[in-house]
Order: sequence, then structure tokens, then C-alpha cells
Amino acid sequence: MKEGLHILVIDDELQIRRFLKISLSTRGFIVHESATAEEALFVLPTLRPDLIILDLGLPDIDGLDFIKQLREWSTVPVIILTVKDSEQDKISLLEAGADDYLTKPFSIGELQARIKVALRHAIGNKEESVFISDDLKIDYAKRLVFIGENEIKLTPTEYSLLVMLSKNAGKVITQNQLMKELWGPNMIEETQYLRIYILQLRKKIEKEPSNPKKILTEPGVGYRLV
Amino acid sequence: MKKLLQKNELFLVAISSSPNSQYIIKWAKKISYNFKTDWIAVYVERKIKLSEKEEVSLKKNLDLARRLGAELIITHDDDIVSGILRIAFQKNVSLIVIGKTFHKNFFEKLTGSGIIDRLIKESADININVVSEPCLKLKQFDFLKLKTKSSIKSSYKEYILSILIISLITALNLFLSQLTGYWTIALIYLLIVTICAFFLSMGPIVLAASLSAVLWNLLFIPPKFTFYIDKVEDLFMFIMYFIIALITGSLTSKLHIKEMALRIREKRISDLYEISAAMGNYTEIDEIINNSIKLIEKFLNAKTVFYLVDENGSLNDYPHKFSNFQINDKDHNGILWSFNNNKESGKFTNTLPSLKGYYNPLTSISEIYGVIGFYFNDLKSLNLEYENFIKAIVKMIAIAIERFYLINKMQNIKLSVESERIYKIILNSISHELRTPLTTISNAVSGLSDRKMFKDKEIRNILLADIKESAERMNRVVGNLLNMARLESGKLKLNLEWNDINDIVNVVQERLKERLVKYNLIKEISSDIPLLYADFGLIEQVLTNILFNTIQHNKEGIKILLKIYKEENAVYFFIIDNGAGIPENCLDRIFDKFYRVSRYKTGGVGLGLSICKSIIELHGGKIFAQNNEDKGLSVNFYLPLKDMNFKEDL
Repeated sequence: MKEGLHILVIDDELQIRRFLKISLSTRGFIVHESATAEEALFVLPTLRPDLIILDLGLPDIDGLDFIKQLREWSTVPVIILTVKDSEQDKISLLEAGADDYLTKPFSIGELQARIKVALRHAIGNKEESVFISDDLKIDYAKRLVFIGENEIKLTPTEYSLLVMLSKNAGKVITQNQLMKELWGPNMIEETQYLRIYILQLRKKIEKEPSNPKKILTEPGVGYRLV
Repeated sequence: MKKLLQKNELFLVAISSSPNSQYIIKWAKKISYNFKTDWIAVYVERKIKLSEKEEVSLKKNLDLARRLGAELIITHDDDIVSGILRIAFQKNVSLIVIGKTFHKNFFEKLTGSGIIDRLIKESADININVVSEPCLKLKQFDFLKLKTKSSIKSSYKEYILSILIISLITALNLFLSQLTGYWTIALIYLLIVTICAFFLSMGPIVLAASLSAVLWNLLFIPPKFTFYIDKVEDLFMFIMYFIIALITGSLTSKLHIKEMALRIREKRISDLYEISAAMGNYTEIDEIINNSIKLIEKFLNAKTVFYLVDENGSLNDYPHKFSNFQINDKDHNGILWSFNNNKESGKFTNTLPSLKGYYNPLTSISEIYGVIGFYFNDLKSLNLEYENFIKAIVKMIAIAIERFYLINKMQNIKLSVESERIYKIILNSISHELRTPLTTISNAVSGLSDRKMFKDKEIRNILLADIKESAERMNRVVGNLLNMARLESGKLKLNLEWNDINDIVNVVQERLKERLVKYNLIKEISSDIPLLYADFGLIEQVLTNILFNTIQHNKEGIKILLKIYKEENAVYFFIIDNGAGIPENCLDRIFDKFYRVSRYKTGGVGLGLSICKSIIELHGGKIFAQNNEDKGLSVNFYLPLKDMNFKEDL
């Protein structure tokens, strides 16, 4: 899965491009670079990478506009590089079509994990009837959830929430997206519902609800199912 | 030989309307300058009205005295000497300066009781300096002219009244004459004349006295109905009566005048006191202006306009918004003139007297703060005493305005001193706190560039760890500075949301994972805590900073207890360690910006806890620290809980 995959890095900082090129090539990716969004948009149709790493704060085009433009004709997975405290940016980018994000400074291990997840979701689009992660098993067809051998009883809302998280397993999903999906666009502001349901879900499927290992919180942004 | 004046002594100059006074005033200024003392210029206003020429001359004299720096006092007294001495004793002056030809009028020359002689006699231990003036003279006062003048000035009404009263009493007496003798009648007349003296002025009193004497003679002294007086004793009685009536009348009248003057003086003083007390309370310019206008309406029965200076010191083109008196272009010229020449203008003055308003510059010491204009609702003329009263009020307003500007200046200076200080601290901090890790990184990198060192695995790992740690440290410092800047600028918008406290704690734990490994972190989070309505990132920052601080200040292996529980309407957070604690006297200051207990090696800028404080307070909570009874420090804070309102049933 790692051989021959093309990644396009869009970043105006020479050092970051160089670093990414070196570290990702060592892991078998073929890395292309662009210093500006315009250049990237020009090159994209011919290059057709398998993944894009986009840094925010590009001088020419705003990251959000870039994603919007890209999503008009391409479904290529995009991971954005952000700085801390830019929650609002992250949310809007994720909802515009970015797949995941990484906060600078990051470790190469983190980046690799995110790339893996993003690629998996891009490739494996066929419907799976069962989801398995660690000791969590979801049987979509039968609408049953198991932790190890034990069946877990979930309310309809809890189940929908878990299913949404699992369909995007490994990727971050924003709370707005979750709210919209589960309660409709009018309830987006009432995040307390989401919190309570996550709490209840954690109580049911986590070994230590106060120290969750399956459903992770992405502060200010949303949640991620491991 | 004792000097004429010692330092800090006060002296007094007596001023009259004569142009000679100008010379005396200048002389007084010389004395004041040479002996470096303050001086008072006194004018004793008598009931006798002055001619136009005299008024103008007097005004000139007073203006001169004021301009040369005298404290001007105008007092009412029919007796000049008593007026001068009263002020002299009141103000505790050591010297009185008076011109030789002061008020040497015909009458005084005659009786030899010159003012100066009396002054010398009655001045106790005050020195008298009699100054010879060059011979400039106004026409000498004429005693007779004095009398006629005053009679003309008395109103006609009073004369008619006095005639009426005497007539009435005469009728009464005619009736009584059947019961008593004519001497009793005389006493009745006398009584009436004395009573009249309380409300009639000099002229009508004289008329009443004379009229009563004549009528007494005519109607009551035998032979009745003739002017002829039979008995000699009756003649003497008649003459005595006449004199007594005159004296009693005029004395009572004088008393009455003195009393009126006293009352006016008292009222002025109490008015000024009230105004001064009121002005003392206001420090904001709008307050000052607003209340001045109200006071002026009350005490002067006038409308006011204020033109103040702007930051550059030039006069604003438009009046202060609270002004209640509209200015036309002509009057504006008066205002500009007053501002530029630092003198009064407009109605009642020598400059542009046809204007609607009376304008005074607002000056205090040497600064001019604007111009104040009065529009009197009903004032026909401005006598000296009233003018002085107005000027005293204007002075008080100017002083209040000055106080406002000075306070402002002082605050600005304080602010810029404080900014300077913080700026310096920040520069030093940044410089040091970022340079140090940078140096470490540089060194580590040059170490790694060396082949021998690079080959040694242990050394290599150490250097790499150094670089990693230094980079983290720099990241932290930058983060803290940014946070501080955001919080200070007031531009930080809270991203308030419902949050699970466990989430926040877990994120913090994850972030500090590597460091916490060497410490014993115990969590006691009660399970009944509802969702917290707060900014996730900021609360995360608070917990991170506190825990990080605890780690920094204590050696490895200590226990850190994180206890969170709900009580009433708030969630309480306790971070309790069993480490070294903090000296008691430093406890309050650990939340100050840039405060560090000791310069420990891996230290930060000293902003961590102050950022926590700002964030907590932004959320409506409070943070504090205390040393534990047994060992270690406890940092505690609470955050208020908000009621969750659900739109529909779950």
C-alpha cells in the first residue's frame, strides 16, 4: 500500500517542504512540492496525487478557497497543517472538504498515521458490513454492537453516533457534522446534546470512561474514533 | 535695625479712586518684589457713590493692582480707617502702605482727624508706610457736594414716605396732646424718627427730623400754631430736639447701612464657600463644566458658555456641549480677544462693550484653559464688589479645570511608565528565554555535525533529546507570550461551549505525558459533574500551565493530586502537591505577570500563572494558591456552572 503513492506537498516554507520530502520518501512515498496554491492548482490535473498535504497561511490563495475549488472536481484526500488555537479555521476547512489536520509542530509518526487513515478511506470505499477496531465490533447489517464477546445495548441515537464515527474511523469528524447528521441543521448550536451522548457512549464501550481510548476528543473541533 | 518687612509677612496697600493710587500701587509692587512678600490691595467702598470719572479711575487702579499680583479686597465701610484696619487685622498684615494725600478732603482737613493720623493711632503694632506721591490731583471732594449728591441719589419714594409718616404721627400727636404735655409729644416724634432711620436713608431722615421739629414747634409748643417760642427753656428744647433727632437718625441710618454691608459680605463669603466646596468634588471635565453652569445659574442668575482649549493649547472653535448660551459671530470675536489677551471683554468692560456676553479668560497661574462667557438675565451694571465675586468664581473654575488636566497628565505618565516597564521586561524575557534554547540547539547541532560525536550513540541521543526539549521550550514560551498578548489586548473572544471535564483533563494529560511519567499524578474527578460551559482550549491551557508549573518547581517522584468536584453552582479544581511549597510572602505574587519565585534553570517567562488568572477571571471564576498544612502547594480555582436548557426532551 505504501509503494508508489504520490503525495503533493503545498507549503511556502522551504524547510518544511524539505523535511516532509525527506521523511516521507524514506517511507516509500513519492513526494512532489508546490510553493504556492496557484502552482498546485495548475499542476494537480496532470499530477493526480493520491494525497495532498496543505499548509495554511499560503501567501496567494486562502486555504479555504483552495479546498472549495479543489472539491469541485476532485475527491483526493487533503491533510492540512495548522497552528494551535486556530480551531475555527480547522472546523471550516474540515467541513469544506479537508479530511484531517495536524497541528505544528508534529512528529513524523503522527503524520504517517494520519496519512494512512486518509488513504484508507479514500481507497476502501466499498461498503463493509462489519467494522472491527480493537475489541469493538459493529455489525451494520444486524445493527449489533459488541465489546469483545458482550453485546452492548445502545439507544438509536447512540448507535447512529457510533456508526458515523466508525464510518470515518481514524479521521476527525467535526461536531457540526455530527450534530447536523444526528439532529439536523437547526440544532447545530446545541452542542450539549452531543457531549452528553458521547459521555453515555463512552460509559458503555470504554474500559475507562474517564480515560477514553476509543473515542478521542479533538479539542474545539470534534471527535475521532480510533 | 529691623527690616521694613520680613519674608512671609504680608502688607496692605490702601487704594482710592485718585490717580495717585497708581503710584502707590507701583510702589507696593516694588516692595513686594524686593522683600519677596505677598500683598493685599484694599479699597473701602463707602455708601457715597462715585462720579463716572472717579469710577473709571478706580477701576484702572484696581486692574493695575490685580495685574501686578495683589490680592484684591473690597470692603464696605463708611469709615475708611476702620475698613482698612479691619482687613489689616484680619489678614494679619505687618505693614500698611498709604499715600500722603489719601482722601485729604475738605472736611478732614478741617477737623484735623486725618485718615493717616487715625491710622497711626489705631494700628497697634502694624507699621505704617506713608508714601509721598507726585502731585496728580483729581478735583478735591467738596463736603457740600457730598451731601447734595447723596440726597439726589436717595429715591423719591423715601422722601414721600418720610413726609407721610411724619404727617400721620402729627395727626396722632394732635389727638394725644389733649392727654399729655408737649414734651411727651416731642419724645414720640423722636421715637418715630429713630424708627424711620431703620429703613430710610440719610436724606429722608434729615427731612423727617427737620419736619418733625418744625411741626412740633408750630403745633405743640406754646403759643400753639405759631413759630414763635415763648419760654427760653422751650427754645433750648427745640434746638436740642433738632440736634438729637439728626444725630439719632443718622447714627441709626449708618448702623443700618453697616448691617446691610455686612450681610452682603457674609452672603458673598458663604456663596464662594459653597461654590468652592462643590468645585472641589469634580475631577472630570464634563462634570466640572456641567456643575459650574448650574452653580452660575444659581448664584449669578446667568447663562454660561465655555470655550476650552484642545490638546495643542489653542482654543476650540465650538463651545463645550453643556453651554446654555448661544454665541453669535460678534461675540465670538470677544471670546477670541479675551483668549489672546488674557483679559476680560464684552459687556460691562472697556473692550467691545456692546457684546451680549461678559467674557473672562480661564487662567490658573500661567496657563490659560479657555474662555468663559456669562449672559446675565438681569444685570444693569457691574459694580466692583460683584465683579470681584464673579472673578473669584471664574478662578475656582479655572483651578478645577487645571486639576483635571493635571490628573490626566499624571495618569498618562503613569501609563507610559508602566508600558515602558513591561516593554523592557518583555524584551529581556524574550531575548533570554528564546536565546537560551536556541543556543542549546545550535550547540547540539554542531555537536552532531562532528563525526566522532555523531557516531557515539549515547552522545547522539543526548544531543537529540536536548534539541527536542529546547524546541518544546521555545514553543511554550512563544505560546505563552501570544496568549498573554491576546488576553491583554482584550481582543480574545471566548469560544464557549459545553464540555466534558474529563475530555479536557485527558487532553492535558496527553500533552504532558512525557513529563508526567516521572511524577505521580492521581485524579479524583467526581462523577456527578455536569457539562462545563467554557472555552475548551483556554481551560486546557490553565490546567496545563498549573501542572507544568508544579512539575517545574518540584523534584521527581512527588505526588500530584488533581481533584475536581461540583459544589452548588460551581466546579472546583484542586491541584495539590506534596512538594516544596512556596514561601508565604510570595504567595500573592505568583499570579503577577513575569513573576518568578526563583530563577530556576528550565524556567519560563513567568507568565504561566498570570495567564491562568486572566482566563479564569474571564470565565467568571477565581484562582488562588496556598501552602498545604503538611507539605507542598495547592493551587485551586473554581468556574461557575451554567444551567443547561434543553430545547426538547432527550
